Amino acid sequence: MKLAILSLTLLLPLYARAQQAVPPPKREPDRMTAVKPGPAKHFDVAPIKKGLLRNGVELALMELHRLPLVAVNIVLPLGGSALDAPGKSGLAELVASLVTEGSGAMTGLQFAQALDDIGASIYVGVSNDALTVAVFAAKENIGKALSLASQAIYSPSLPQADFDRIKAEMTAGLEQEKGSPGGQAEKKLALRLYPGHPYGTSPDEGSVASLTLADVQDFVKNRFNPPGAIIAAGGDLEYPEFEKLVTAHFDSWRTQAGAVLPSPPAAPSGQAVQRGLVIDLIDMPGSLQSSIRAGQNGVTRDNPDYMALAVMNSLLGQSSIISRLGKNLREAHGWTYGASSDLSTRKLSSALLIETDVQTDATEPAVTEILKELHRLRDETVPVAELDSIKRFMAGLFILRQQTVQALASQASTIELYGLPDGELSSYRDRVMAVTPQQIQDVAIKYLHPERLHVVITGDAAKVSKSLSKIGEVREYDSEGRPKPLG
Amino acid sequence: MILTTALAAFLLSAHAASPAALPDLAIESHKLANGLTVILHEDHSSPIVAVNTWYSVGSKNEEAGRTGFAHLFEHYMFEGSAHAAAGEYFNKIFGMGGDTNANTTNDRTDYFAVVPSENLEEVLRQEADRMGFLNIDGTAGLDKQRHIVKNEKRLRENQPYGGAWEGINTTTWDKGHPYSWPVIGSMEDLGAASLEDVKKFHDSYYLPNNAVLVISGDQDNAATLLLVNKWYGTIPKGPAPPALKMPPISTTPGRRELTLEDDKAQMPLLLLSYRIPGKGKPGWQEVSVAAQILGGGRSSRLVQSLQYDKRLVLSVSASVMGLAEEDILLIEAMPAPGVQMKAVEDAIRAQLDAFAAHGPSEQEMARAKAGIRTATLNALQTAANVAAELAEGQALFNDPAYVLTALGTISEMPRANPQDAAKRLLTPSNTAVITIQPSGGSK
Repeated sequence: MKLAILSLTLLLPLYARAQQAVPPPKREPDRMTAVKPGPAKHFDVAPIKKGLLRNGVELALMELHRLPLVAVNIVLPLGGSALDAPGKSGLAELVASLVTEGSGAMTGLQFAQALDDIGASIYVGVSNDALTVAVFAAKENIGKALSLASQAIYSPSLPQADFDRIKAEMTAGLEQEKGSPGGQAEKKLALRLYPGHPYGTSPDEGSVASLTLADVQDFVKNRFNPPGAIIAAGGDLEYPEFEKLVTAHFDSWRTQAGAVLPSPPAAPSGQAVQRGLVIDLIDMPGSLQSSIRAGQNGVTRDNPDYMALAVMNSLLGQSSIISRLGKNLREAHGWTYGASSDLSTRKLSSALLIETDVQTDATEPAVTEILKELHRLRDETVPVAELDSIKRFMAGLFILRQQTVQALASQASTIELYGLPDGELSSYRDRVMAVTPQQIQDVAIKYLHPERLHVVITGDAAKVSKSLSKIGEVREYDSEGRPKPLG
Repeated sequence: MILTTALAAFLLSAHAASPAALPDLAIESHKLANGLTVILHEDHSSPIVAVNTWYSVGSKNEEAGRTGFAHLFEHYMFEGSAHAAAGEYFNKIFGMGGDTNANTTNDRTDYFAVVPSENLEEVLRQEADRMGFLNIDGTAGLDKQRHIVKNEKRLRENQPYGGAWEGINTTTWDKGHPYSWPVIGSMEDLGAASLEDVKKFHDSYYLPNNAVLVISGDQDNAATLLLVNKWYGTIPKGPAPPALKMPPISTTPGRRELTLEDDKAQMPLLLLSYRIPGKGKPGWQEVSVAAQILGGGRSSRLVQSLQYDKRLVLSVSASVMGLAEEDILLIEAMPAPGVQMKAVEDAIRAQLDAFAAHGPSEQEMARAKAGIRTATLNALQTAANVAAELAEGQALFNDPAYVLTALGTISEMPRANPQDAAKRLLTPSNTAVITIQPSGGSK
């Protein structure tokens, strides 16, 4: 190491001395004419190499050898927060924080130090559909990091003191969220999109207060088990190396004696039907902007219309600059720093979510323009040039996403978690490019219902309520989300 | 014909011992006759190329009454140039399957595009056009961006602790110091910005001799240099940009305090800010390592002591910001309910004193080095990140491979160095204390 550094410092002065200016060109280039691109280059997305452990755990690897780095996602669908019992919302989240607080003979501090010794990280995250242990390390340390991850899964210590601390931190976190205008609106929107379903539920003071260490112990016993589990990796490993590493740490993993596996939740029944536009308005007096969150739920990933809907979403709002919501609300009106939409997809449902924060006096006009853009997708066929541009944007971003080991691990785990076909990634760009203007309009007519869009806004009610009531029914809430008395 | 006059290939590789080798970062460095520095890095692992244009101008260069202008100008750069319509840059880059954005800090303004590599020359045509021929003939674009930026400011300030950075800047630095005002600027100054300001700013700072152009990824160095010279070579060199007026800085300014009320925050927050040397200057890496050991994660001293052992805080961290002239080491702590700010600050002080008195252990040093090494590799994964690192290295240190140079220096650092840096810099008389209290406005 020392030698290499030394040689670098020696090179520098030499290079500085040698530097002479490149002489200018003889004439001005033709600046008016756009340069035609060269022939497009071929790019193969890394194939997903798959396998199976004896306990049924599925393995998937996308190789990337540019740097000596590896990311591994250990995905436990049984750990998804949608499987938390009613009234126990927050349990999966609490477990995620607690499992790295020591295991076997190691204290939490020793566990953290062992990871830091090798410059590796383990992050445990929770979505509705899975609990994921995300491991990241330099290649030479990935074995040690996986060993630590397996210990967190097999034999977490679950100390009472750390349980108490994390619970107190979660309670404080819930209190903190009350000051976040966007966060408040998103919670309420989820409730409207998925009434009575775990996808619409988020932790609250009551559910977190009810959590006990026994709940956590039951969770680990019943839900830290191999059925459905996926170990998906990206990075600098050949498949045989990957399989050997994973086998060493996870092949002996078995469903624990006496475990009761939770059954998956039923699919959401669809959004509550409302007669017209209903706007929930959360009052934050003195707010500098209105945080608008709107949405409607949609189809599952295996629906044949899914790709056309994904392209429609991109056209509507994937980019805050070239998609229609951004062109309208930001570029044409200057009402906001950003306006976007997302086709948020989970195992049992997807939802089209629209998000923007606008200056207070533009609140009603912004909602009106959002509705206009949704109607336009239904009423007009998208011009070919506009659609081509969006499709190339999507296909190009897909290639950019193949650069990091974390993104590869995440793509491989998504494919396995949602049971998507083998060619999902390799055919992605072709499928995007094949979507036609007519298909966009067809899916817009079939799935978009602007007249009963769910709209939630956090803002200064005294300033925006009256104008909003001209376009829909307004229901007011205080900053804690409680309905305000009428009158 | 262009003579390739300067070739510096930095090959850092093939270390025999573990840890595994660092990446090869083979770099070519050139200067055009108009002063534009060009850094080229060939990497054909993916058919994409990143173009990073780094202008050495940030909010620190702004004049009184025009705070926020460097950032507003960054927005204006997308409003078209002599040979490209307003918005064309975005439409083109996204429409060719690329990604692009720009960002402004106190020190610099950085523009990037990462595109399928067959489009490289069109990106250079567009990028050179707004360097040499920015469109300055109508207020519509300026007014539009002014509205957008004002909404960007509102968006930031409408969040819990949205006023924290302004508090940190004004308390850490003396009045009039170029870092004392926020990058986003004041509403009043944003409102006052004129087209004349735009023209003057472009003439003063958006010059080939004040920029670094990095092209990294699927490109051929020799061919790219020809293209760069074709599109940039005839842009005239400008006068040297106005010298920055940096007041002399003391690292013993005495304790300064500020309390802010925040109607969005639900919990109090304690921020301790220390003046430290600018990024890469002597002592900066040492104090960065100290920050990592003190507050860089679960096993760090502040987290272990305050959050886990004593339960004084819900969270605590220490980090350096990376400012170029002088920098800040910032400690953020959120007291647990019922715990007084003073108890938290005293506990932090005790940890800083212990670190200054005894220094880190060898094991703590090894952990910090291992973490920084993985983080460095992580940061070099994408073409866009590599280009940004090379640009910063060139612009700040005249060393495009600074990211690897720094890693080398840190890997050799003895444990006495962070201790010494902490002893000198993390002192009571160099502490700015910013306290944010919930005002209950949203209840």
